[in-house]
Amino acid sequence: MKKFIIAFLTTFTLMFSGSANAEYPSGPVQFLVPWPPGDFEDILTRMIAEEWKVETGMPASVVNRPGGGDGPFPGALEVLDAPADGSVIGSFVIGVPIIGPRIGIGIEQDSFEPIGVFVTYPFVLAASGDAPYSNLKELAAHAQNNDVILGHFGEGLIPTKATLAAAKKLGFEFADSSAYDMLDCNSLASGDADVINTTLALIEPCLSDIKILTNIGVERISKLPDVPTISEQSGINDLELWNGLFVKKGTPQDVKDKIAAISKKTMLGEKAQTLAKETGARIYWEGESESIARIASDTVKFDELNAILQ
Amino acid sequence: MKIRVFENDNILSSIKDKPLNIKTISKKFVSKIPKDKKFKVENLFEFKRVTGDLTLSIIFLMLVSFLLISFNTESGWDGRELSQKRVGKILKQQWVGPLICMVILVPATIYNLYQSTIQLNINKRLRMPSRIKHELFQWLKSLEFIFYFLIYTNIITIFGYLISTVIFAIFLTTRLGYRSLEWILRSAIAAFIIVIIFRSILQIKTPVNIWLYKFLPQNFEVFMKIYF
Amino acid sequence: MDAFYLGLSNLMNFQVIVAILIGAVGGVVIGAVPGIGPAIAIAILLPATIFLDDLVSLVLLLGIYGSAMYGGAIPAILINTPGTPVNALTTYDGYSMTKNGEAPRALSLAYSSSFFGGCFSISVALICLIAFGPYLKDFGALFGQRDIFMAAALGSVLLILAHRQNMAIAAMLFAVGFLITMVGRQTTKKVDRFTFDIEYLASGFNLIVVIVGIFALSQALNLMNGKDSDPPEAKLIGGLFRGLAELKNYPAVAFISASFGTVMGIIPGVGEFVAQFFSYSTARSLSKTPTQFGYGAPEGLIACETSNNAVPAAAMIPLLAIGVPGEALTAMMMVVFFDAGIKPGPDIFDTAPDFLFSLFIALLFVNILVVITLLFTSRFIATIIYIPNKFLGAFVMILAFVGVFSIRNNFMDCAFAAGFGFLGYILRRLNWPLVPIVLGMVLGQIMIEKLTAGAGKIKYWVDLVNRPVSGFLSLTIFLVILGTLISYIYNNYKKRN
Repeated sequence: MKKFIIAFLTTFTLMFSGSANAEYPSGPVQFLVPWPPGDFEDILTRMIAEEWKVETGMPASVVNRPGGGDGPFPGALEVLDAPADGSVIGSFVIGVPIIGPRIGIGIEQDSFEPIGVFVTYPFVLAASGDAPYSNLKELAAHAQNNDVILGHFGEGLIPTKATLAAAKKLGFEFADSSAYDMLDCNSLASGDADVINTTLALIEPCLSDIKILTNIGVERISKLPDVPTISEQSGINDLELWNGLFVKKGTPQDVKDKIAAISKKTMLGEKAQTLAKETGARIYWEGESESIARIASDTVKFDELNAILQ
Repeated sequence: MKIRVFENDNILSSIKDKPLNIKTISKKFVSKIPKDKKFKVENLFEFKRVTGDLTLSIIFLMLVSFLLISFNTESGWDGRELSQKRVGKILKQQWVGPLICMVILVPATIYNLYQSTIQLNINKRLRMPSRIKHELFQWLKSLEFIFYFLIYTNIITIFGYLISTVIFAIFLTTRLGYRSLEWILRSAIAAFIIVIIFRSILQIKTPVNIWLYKFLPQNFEVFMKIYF
Repeated sequence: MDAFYLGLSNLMNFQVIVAILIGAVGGVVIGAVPGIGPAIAIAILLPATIFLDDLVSLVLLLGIYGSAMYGGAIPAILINTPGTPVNALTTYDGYSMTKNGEAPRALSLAYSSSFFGGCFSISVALICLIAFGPYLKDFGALFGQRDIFMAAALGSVLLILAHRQNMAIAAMLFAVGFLITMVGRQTTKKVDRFTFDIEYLASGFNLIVVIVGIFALSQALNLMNGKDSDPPEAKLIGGLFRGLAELKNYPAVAFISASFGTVMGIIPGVGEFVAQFFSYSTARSLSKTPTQFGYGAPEGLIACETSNNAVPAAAMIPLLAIGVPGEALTAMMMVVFFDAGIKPGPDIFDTAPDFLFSLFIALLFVNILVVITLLFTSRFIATIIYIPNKFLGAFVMILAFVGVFSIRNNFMDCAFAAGFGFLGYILRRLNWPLVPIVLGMVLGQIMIEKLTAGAGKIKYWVDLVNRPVSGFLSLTIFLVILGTLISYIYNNYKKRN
């Protein structure tokens, strides 16, 4: 209620102050997270939304639009439907700008413009504590004669492809795989999958009871220095999984700059950095130009992955 | 059938001569449960097929046949791979959901049509008049209000949420027969309150490109766009 | 237990308290006006509450859900028109009491029984939370994808079988609802289901759009096409406190009905109707004056009101514990949970235990607030029930736009909602049930999602049922279907002889 009054009075006085254009943000803003709540991008985006309310006095909300095992793409399409004025901001993983254009659902190479990249997921391959394997080599040996089921966030997504490529290189095959929207402690405990591709945030509560087989990323996770990366174990390239903020193409530059300023402040702030230390994620801020460069280099790495899988 | 009449008047005349002796006054007996209306809880869940039921059942049958015909191409059935080693790989395919739907839908529709025709035959045998024309006319009458609703959604882009809602409210009130000034004022005020609560306070999203607001000075335009 | 205190302190927030107030009082008014019910109100308010704080919007909607049945009893008793569909049984005994001039007694008895029913199920829920909460995670390990699939399947079967006399129609509409969620483009698998190459259909149908169309718009059409009813004048003379104490004369009826309501609320797919039916029949068979039922028996009134108020709190339990909503209204609230950053499921006790406590404590506050308010403002509310139908219908139509457009800002959504409204209107005229369509959408989507996700582990057909929970649930499904078939054949056999 208070914020409504503040916003009302601000606009009222603006009316009579003769300013030419309404300053962004002139209305409520929505952050769209195409995953169910609980993971890093959700937590961090909510931090940004809180900071947004404080800084601009305008309401900001975070909505979750899970795709039901279809990956983040249905949620990403919603950002495409919105007007290009900064009122809907997407919090997307690497898969959306790189894989989105290739699956023919309406996302083009230039549909989204990055504001910045802010988190690298501690993405791992985990198995339950009583599994008879502790790293990829043992998994390969076990999988020769037994069925191993992989749980992942979507067939076309990068971590899934990385895992399958590593399997191919090491000479084994998963008996089957299933796409989930949420892979957490329960997925392993209930026996829905034998190994899962997930982030550390989601398996935090049972971290001591399960085995981490490998880490999908450029470097080893600070919290788990004994777990080798997937490129160390299987020789595929070191693709990293990140999440960034995106807006629809055609959004004005001052809008993008405003969003970037607030997000940078949040990500480099104390709360986010503490979260990084506790969970092993890397939280930082890479601006627009760096993000564009990163997307380009990651696209190349992704093509290499696809070549392996052919 | 002939009705027997008392040919012997003696009984009647003997009663007529002597007046009735009503000295004892007793309360007339009133049963707590009216004879013809015994209450049954089951009646609440009773279902009787009414006029128009058969029409809708036939329409559903046509819809279901259409879905069946297009099932092949539209649900991914033509891309099916049924020879898989693992059952799970079959269950993951796209047509599983639609197939389950069809398996439930087709028998249910046919059985429903069958039950509907039974009721129709009962009605025919009892020579109950069919009010199907009246029923269908009622259905079409409701389309008028749907038409008004669609017009309302379209004039919002022209006149803005506040004005179109007030206009729509007043129009509907007069169309429904409340023509006095008191009712018109009530509906206008109620519409205004609805707009304030949902648009200004809760900030729900309504269309932003409004033709009417273009004629306002810049600052007013912004204000109206945000709060109304 | 600290989660309990933390949950309590979450509620000591000005906005939350205002939301509880608005939810409670608003819910009573919404329930009291015949023609609109909590389903319509929640469907319309849901998208509008996106910009409020999470707990605030949830408490608001929950308040409406929990208090609507209090309000629904008022016109049911005074003018023989149920305010919400679940108050239908209240009309029999309640209105008879009014005809005998005992309206205040009926009203206060209804309030106290509702209060008892609500508090009963809330306390059961809280006790379960405190006692079993920490073990929910282990319990959750039993519930994998295939088990949740079976739970949703059981809910669907129970839903269809509950419509004893029109099972074919219920099954048909359930399958239609199921099919509606199937429509859309499956992005990563590149298959369009039933889109017929129409762009709009590629994004599928949204649950709220369908609900607003089928419930709200159809009701608006129903009201506008009908006549303004001429309800009898009802005078409220006398104090409202008399009936409150009367509840303690019938402890057995009250407890049994409340338990039925709670149990039926927990089982997905069943709902207030079946709960009421069972408790009413049981109360009648246990009563010393069974012939009074339907003509002013206080036990009848107690049975109805207690059971239908016990359902809301109980219906939240399957939603929170395993993520399967038991009922159309709880399904809508699942969306609000997601927007609040809470994922319903077995993990919820680890991730947000205080939130769970806040919910149920808030519901308790709502119940208390409603009873206190009603004792003093019943007279005022009794005037609201006379809003003319057609006028009401017009405003439901205006509000329907709010609900539909704010979801996806799409005019085609409005057109489709209008189409569903037309369909819903025809269904209402034919007395066909509307709930199977909504639950078909919700349960169908859950079933398919869980089936596809759990398919990885299914090597042979038997893998679907060889887990403890899914095996038990599938056995229950089989037995229930078998039981219904047997009783059907037996009844037919009896009829012929």
